[in-house]
Amino acid sequence: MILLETNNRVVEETLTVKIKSAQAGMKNESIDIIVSDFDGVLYHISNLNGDKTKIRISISLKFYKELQEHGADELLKREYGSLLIAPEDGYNVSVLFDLENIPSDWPNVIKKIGLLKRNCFASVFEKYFDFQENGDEGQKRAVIHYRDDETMYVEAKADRVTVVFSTRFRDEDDVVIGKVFMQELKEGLRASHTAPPVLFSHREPPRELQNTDAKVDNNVGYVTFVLFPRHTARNTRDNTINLIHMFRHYLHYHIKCSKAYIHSRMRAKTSDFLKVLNRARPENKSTDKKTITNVQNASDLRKKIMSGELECCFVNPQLILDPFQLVVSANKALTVENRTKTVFTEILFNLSISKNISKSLQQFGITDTCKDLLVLTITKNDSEGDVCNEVKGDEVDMEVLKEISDVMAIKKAYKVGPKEEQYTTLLDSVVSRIATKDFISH
Amino acid sequence: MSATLRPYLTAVRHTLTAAMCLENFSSQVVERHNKPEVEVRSSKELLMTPVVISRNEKEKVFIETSVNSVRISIAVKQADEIEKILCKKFMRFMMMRAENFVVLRRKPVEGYDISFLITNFHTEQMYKHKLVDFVIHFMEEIDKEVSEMKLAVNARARIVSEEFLKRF
Repeated sequence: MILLETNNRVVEETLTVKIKSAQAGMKNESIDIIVSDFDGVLYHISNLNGDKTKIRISISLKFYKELQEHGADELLKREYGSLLIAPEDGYNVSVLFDLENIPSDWPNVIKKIGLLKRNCFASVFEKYFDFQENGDEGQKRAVIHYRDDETMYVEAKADRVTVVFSTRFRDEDDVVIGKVFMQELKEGLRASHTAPPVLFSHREPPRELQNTDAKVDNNVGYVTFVLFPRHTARNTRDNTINLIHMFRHYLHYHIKCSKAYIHSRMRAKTSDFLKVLNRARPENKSTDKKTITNVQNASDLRKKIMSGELECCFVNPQLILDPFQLVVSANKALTVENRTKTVFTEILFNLSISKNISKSLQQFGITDTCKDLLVLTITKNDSEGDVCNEVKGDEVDMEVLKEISDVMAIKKAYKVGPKEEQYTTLLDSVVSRIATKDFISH
Repeated sequence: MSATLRPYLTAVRHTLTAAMCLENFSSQVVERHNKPEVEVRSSKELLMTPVVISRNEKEKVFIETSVNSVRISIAVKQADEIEKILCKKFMRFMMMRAENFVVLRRKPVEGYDISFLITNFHTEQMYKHKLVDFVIHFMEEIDKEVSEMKLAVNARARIVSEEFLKRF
């Protein structure tokens, strides 16, 4: 829906329904609706004097008096002829449609009624197009205040008719978007050779309108169409009128559409940013550790873990002094940027003081010959993983770890010398090495 | 990515990583208050020297650090009128949703378009490096998004004017 319709669809559809039901022989219902259109135009569809077979369509335009000066009455008489009746109170023009006497070409009649507003407007254009055709230059400019603070000026010269719209942008941002549209409209001439030149000025009225009551302020724009005889000729003038009188609405409609589109994009982008920010929140994960002795299928497990089939971490318990040592390493793996492929290899890597990843994995991970294993899993919830079922061996209490761990091997792996031992416990030495691994090398 | 964008973002990333070394710090002035010092500025000794990293006159990042909070203010590129309003609209849209963003400041620091306030409580609850990632991602995307929106408006304007003029 790029172009707006010049007719009023609500009016048309309401009447079509009425006529169809009348033709089908159904009982006529009473009707009373008010429809608004552009430029503050109101349509009133009602029954004349409560007679359900007579439908009266009235239109009110705030600026009808100005249109009358330019022969609106004559034009309407020509277009609607016998349909016209005396205007309803508070409205400017009324037409009557009789359901008991439906003309055979009723769709055309309805179409005409839908164009009531357009036809009121057309009078000004037709008059000035005629002036141009007759080369009548002496006529004064027509001024139509078609909205509260928006005005249309029409002027005829021998070789052209200029139509100037003043349009007010409610929002300051609309001015900017409007300028973009107008810029494109100026350049759009290249696309179509038959189109009239369009000029746009923001704030200041064009030269023709200087020394008139044309407003000068920041939110006003002036759009000038220069219509040549090819636009005002008898066979093209209807089309020109249709387009020109809808232009203001067309422009504002698309400015609104652009803004709506921008808004929906911003909404999408903002939720995207939120997603990125929420990634910074750690998920609730709990670590679970188990010690298993007398392992029989160590080489099998090693293959499975290397292929990524098992989601857990097998640690050589000989090098683990205390569960705290594991927890520090696992916490670091979960909170700090990882350097290895998975969280599990990261835990092993963190356990080691070496910066060499494969060496760390060999040292602290599972070996083909190992008999004891420490299994570490990380879960989001408390659901028990079946990793431990894969291990053939006896699950034992964490307390047994003290018997399994090899203090000499630990001292060697963490390079803890006898001097250091005098001042701190072995566990403190080990944990501080894991924590400071990033910036202290041993 | 253009030649100057990468070093710019790298500089911001490193500065932020260093600046986000925050600790809990209770107010020295009011009993039982714990406020971001970069905002209340109660004492000079708690504030570090602020840093401005700029890519050009218009695009810059202002990083102010204190003992328990860091404030990051970003000035986004605005080449013309339409980019200016798009940027203004976008920033306003985001700042109205500041509660959801947690680290977003409700008002930008003067001279900048948008500000983030990260306190020690944020760095305790969230990963530091991911917070830095977020700021960098934001800076990358905001330019892209503004220019894409501008293109969309222009494209619409072109189609609309062509359609209209074709009818004559």
